[in-house]
Amino acid sequence: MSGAWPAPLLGAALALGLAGSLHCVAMCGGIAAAVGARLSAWSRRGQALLFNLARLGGYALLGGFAGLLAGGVAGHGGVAEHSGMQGPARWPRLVAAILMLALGIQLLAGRDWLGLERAGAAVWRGLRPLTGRAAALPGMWRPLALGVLWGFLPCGLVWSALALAASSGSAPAGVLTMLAFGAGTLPAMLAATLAGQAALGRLGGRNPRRVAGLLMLAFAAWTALGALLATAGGHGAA
Amino acid sequence: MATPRCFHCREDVPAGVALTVALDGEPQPVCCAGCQAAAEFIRDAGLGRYYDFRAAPAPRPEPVADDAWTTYDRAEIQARLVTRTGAAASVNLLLEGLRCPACGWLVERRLERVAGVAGIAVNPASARARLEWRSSEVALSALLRTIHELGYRPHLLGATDTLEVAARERRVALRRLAVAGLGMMQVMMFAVGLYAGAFSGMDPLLREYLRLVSLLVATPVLFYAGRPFLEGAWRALAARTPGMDVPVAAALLLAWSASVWNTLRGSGEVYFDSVTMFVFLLLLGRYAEMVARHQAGSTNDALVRLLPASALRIRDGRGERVAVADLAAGDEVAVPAGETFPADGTLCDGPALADESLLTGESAAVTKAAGDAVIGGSVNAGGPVRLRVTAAGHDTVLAGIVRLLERAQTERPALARLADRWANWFVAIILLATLAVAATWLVLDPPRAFATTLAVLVVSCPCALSLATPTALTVATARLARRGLLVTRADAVEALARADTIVFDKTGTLTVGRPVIRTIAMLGPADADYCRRAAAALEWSSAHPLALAFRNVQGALPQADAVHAVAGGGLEARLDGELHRIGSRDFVAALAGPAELPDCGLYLGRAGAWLARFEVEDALRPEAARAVADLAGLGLRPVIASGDHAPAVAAAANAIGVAEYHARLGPADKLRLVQALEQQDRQVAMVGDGVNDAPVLAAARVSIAIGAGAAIARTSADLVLIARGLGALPEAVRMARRTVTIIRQNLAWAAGYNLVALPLAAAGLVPPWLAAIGMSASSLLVVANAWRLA
Repeated sequence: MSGAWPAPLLGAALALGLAGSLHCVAMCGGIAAAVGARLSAWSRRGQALLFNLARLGGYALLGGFAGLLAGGVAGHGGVAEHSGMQGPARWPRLVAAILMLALGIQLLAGRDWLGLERAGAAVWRGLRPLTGRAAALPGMWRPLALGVLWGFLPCGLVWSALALAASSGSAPAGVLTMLAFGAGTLPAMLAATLAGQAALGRLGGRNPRRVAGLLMLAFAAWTALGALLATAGGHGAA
Repeated sequence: MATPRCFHCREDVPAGVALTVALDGEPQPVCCAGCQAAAEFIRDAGLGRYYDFRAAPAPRPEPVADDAWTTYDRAEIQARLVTRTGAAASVNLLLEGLRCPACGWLVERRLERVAGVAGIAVNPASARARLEWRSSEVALSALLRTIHELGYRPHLLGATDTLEVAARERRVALRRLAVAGLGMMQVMMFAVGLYAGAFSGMDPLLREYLRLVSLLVATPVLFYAGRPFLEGAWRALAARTPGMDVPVAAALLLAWSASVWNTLRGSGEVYFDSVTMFVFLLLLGRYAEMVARHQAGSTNDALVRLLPASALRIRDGRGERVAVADLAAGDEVAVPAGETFPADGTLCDGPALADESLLTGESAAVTKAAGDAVIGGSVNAGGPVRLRVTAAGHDTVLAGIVRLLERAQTERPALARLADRWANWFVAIILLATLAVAATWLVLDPPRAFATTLAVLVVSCPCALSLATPTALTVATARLARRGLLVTRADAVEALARADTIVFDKTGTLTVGRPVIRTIAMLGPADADYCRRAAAALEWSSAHPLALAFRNVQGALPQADAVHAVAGGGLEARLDGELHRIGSRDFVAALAGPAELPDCGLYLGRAGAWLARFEVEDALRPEAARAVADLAGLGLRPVIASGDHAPAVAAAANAIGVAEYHARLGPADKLRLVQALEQQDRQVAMVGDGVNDAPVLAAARVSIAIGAGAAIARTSADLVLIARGLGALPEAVRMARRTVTIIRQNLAWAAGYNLVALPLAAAGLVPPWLAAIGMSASSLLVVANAWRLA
């Protein structure tokens, strides 16, 4: 990457992942618990980690593609270009805030508003046949392959994060953004893999989707506030 | 028609969505493309069974022998185990066979559907469940049966269950750890921004904003997550002792309040990153230590769990299912094949095969004949047998063992007390040194004074010093218990590591403790049969191992009155009115008159007449020679101290390969021997049978009782060998020495670290955040080192 370290972008992606944790547990807690329950006892932790890290690998792949595509489309000069060390970049954070806002509303409304999941579903259809083959792999390869595929599941949250990654405008920055996002989801999903969804089941109360939506809105507001203040800072410094 | 619910996430399916997923050929509605994909993923990965577990568990009924569960509906049993608040009742369960999260899930889902269940929470990790129900609507037995039908065997746990307490402790610790960890990440992120801004110029407004947000995040981290340290410091101050939490709390509060002040006035340094990181890392160290502690505690719990909840009592020829707590000495119980003996007792019929592996660590089952004692908690590995209960409930061997273990775990070993005392001194010195450092820097370079003072406080926390010993001992104790050697005193491990002389009692220690009468030589007017019965009558109540040889004597025994034992001599009693003695030659000679007889074997005599000489033989333990050789190889000088006569002791000593032996020693003589050895600066480990050797065991630097039956529960020995066989001894010595080595390493590391880091910090070379990392890494290292013993 050419010099610019997209720290604000990574921060925003991490926050998006953290904010989305509840949503992750609601949607994918089942997968995590189902795979987790099948892991043999003594190497459980290692395998659970592998499984989840592989998911991050899947995200990273997607992020790389997104960054590459966006970079190609926009010519050179994605957001990362503007996010040098000189001033806190406002764009990535604003984009993230807007995405979070949209996702929050989508979660509250309970419908695929942005069409993101439908778009993802189209991609997923191509990959689905691989699941059976991945599940048949021996030893360490099984959690690894399943985890990567897991990363490709059509999920609104992932696709919002991808939009963020695309906004970085370069493949490495896209990879990093998605890794940061994945890291944000890691604590909750790792817990779900190891402890089972039951342990986290009550996390969102009776209506986890609504709670996740509200939380997402709150994070959106916070991120936007930060970005706007940073904007003010940017002008001040200029 | 009701709105369909999403098969995957169980939310309502929004109107207009007609997505489905095919499972087992059955189309199931899903709410969105995401859930559809997730469900397909689970199905295609071959995990479709997950949905069965989740939604509709297929009951897998298993015939229950009699009905064990109805017992639990009785009020007197519930009284001890069930907590009641109004109409609601709750109980803690241990679910045997619970292995995976899906299982826990299954139990929860299944029970939630039962009318009358107010709540069920299963912790798959510890296989514990808390069940709440309304007793007016459903019987506890029905719920237990339901769980059993799912394939898990529920055990009721007492209201004050230690594991429950431990789990709660762990839950709180984890919550604090999570708050600290999340807060730390957030604050670090802001701190990176602030540092970057400090280099490249930052708008003051943004800087203020970041600092304010840091303050908001760091405050709950300090006062919620860091509460244990603040409270610990407060308690120490209230007790007027400088506990190790004092410098920690001082550092945290100082850094936090300075940062708050600087944030509010808008200039100066903030240390929110150091505060959150310090709290997080400290908690991490404590968490690791707590896990080690809990693992040791689970040994007790496993032992308690050995006993079944109910037993089949036989009364008037009919069997009835009763709670084990209702059993009393004298009851007769039937123990089906494969079930656990519910209490201590003697076998009514035999032979039986008892598997005591959970108690002794020995895998082979032992054959027992009718009349033999069986320990409650061992498993009936043979056919069905009947048992006459000799001790139940709190009086059982098992209960005694658990009490012993608890004693060791609640005691603080001398080494740890020493470290604590050092730590206290250390803390006092640190606090003084910190003041000196602060004063010096205020004179030399006031702007750096605060950061340096802070670093000194943080870097010098003697946490590692305090963790060094107890963690290692806890881990070692748990390991020894698994090998069949119970540590009942906290200091025992260290003493065992230092032992250089090991004194063995012979009978029952080096020998198997099952003496048989080899020959009877008639010396007087009475016939052999009378002599046997007279000897049996005299020995009847004796706890001496040799007395066992006379237990199987047939025929009516003469009436024995005024029995009394003379230590080192033998027994005296009136048999049918006439004074008799049994014991050593000299002891009997005092009654029967002088005679030219060899000083070996057991003599029987009455006033003025010698009656018989018994030669009693007790086979050596097969592994004794090997174990003694191993111990000698470890540098322990073996000594035999026996009450038996010289030829027998010499034979045993030769067979085992022990050069130093003493025969004909009464308890007082043995005591003198051990004291003499200790006066020569020998560190004596005494191995004996626990009851007859009690005074010697108490005198030795470290004592090891060989457990057999009821005696072990009452022993005062430092260590109890419940594994059959002496083979565990050399291993225990090696283990003890490794433990002491690790403790030394830990102490050396902790002290060395503090000595090196303190001057560096005082010189202003260590920033506060680095100090936090260094101190915590030191604690973690010490705990990790202790784990090597596991």
